[in-house]
Amino acid sequence: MKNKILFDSCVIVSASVFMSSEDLGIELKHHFYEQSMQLFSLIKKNLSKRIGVVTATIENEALRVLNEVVRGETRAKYQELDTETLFKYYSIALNTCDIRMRNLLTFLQREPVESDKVAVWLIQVTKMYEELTEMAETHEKTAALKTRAVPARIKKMADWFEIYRTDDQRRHTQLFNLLRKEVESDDKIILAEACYLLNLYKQVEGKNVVLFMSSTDHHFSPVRRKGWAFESRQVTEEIEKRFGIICDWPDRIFEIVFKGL
Amino acid sequence: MKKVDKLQVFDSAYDKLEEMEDKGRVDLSILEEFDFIMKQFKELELFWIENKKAKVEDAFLLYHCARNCGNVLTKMRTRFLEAEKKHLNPDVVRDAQQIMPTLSAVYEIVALPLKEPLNKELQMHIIQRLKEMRNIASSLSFLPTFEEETKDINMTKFKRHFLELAESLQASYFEE
Repeated sequence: MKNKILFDSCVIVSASVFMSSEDLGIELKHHFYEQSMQLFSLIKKNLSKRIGVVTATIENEALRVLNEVVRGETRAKYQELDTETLFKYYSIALNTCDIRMRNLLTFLQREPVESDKVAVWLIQVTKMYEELTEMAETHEKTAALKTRAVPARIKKMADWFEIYRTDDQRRHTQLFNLLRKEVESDDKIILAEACYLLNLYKQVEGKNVVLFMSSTDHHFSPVRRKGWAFESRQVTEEIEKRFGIICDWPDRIFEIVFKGL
Repeated sequence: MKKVDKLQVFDSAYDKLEEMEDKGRVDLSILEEFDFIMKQFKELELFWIENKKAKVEDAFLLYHCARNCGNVLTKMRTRFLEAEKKHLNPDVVRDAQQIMPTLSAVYEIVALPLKEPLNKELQMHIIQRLKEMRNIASSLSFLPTFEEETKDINMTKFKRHFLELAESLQASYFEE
């Protein structure tokens, strides 16, 4: 098996923030940062294997995400500091992360894509998300159906509709997330580019290529919650079923790829 | 330097750089143009800091662009002075010729009055122009180092804000 990992923007941004924090002597303990950095370390150590890949769309998205977070912070902290200090601090922070991001991107192979071929995949990706959204919209009805099936003698003992709905919502969080947060067009393009790349790798490097997409975005990777013994992964499974791409969190991909090295 | 308007100063700098390249030597009279442009960028930084009409995050983005251009010019100014002192080859002239168009492009963006909030496309356009400028500046070693950027700030406060920024990122992209 030959493994390839497409790095999504949020993983690139979190690794660049982690590295910048090291420059500053700050310790970021959250697993979110550690796992992104861990995956980058794996890529660095195995550079000759050309495992890590990225596209121009993802690079631009990473830059946008970083700017968006910093811009959001300036808005949130506006009253806390005088504007001059506030702007200066966040401008320095943005530049520090930007330099680290440039550095990290040098370890990934920038893959060119043919936009006309990506457009064909984009139609399929859009269709998949539309169908999943439709499924999420109709799925709510099962709670009502299950409630109707509750025996009459226990019907008044609890709010069954609420119980079934809560259980459903937890198990199908990733699906229902599509109703709460629409998939942005850039995310669809990124997935379409991943489809294009996997198809290309299979043509050029043989059928035993596995493409992972390392992401923390719920439109791709499973939803994890503290205290949950399961992951909600309807969208992730559908992506794998339709396109053969394995989307997951950086730590899970690290485990799989590390074992295969 | 003849009296020139804010945009003409870039043309004046291009002319001088071309002349320097032809003659093969550094002419420090270009520092007048650099100082003028640096002053413009400094004024624009202040303009966006004090601007109460624009959204804070939009004002910040435009301030950030102006500040970065000012930093690059400061670095370039130092390189010209060093080249003159040490009688170095005028490589710095060719470097300056590469970066000047991108500085001018960013200047045109940050000097425009903002009539309405920046939409996503416009934000991306500005971010891309700045990225292009920083890419070229980075390849020519015109970007300030981390130490140079942070030399006159309160590091303890800065670290605290950086940590909060990291926490916001984590909250946005890691729902647990």
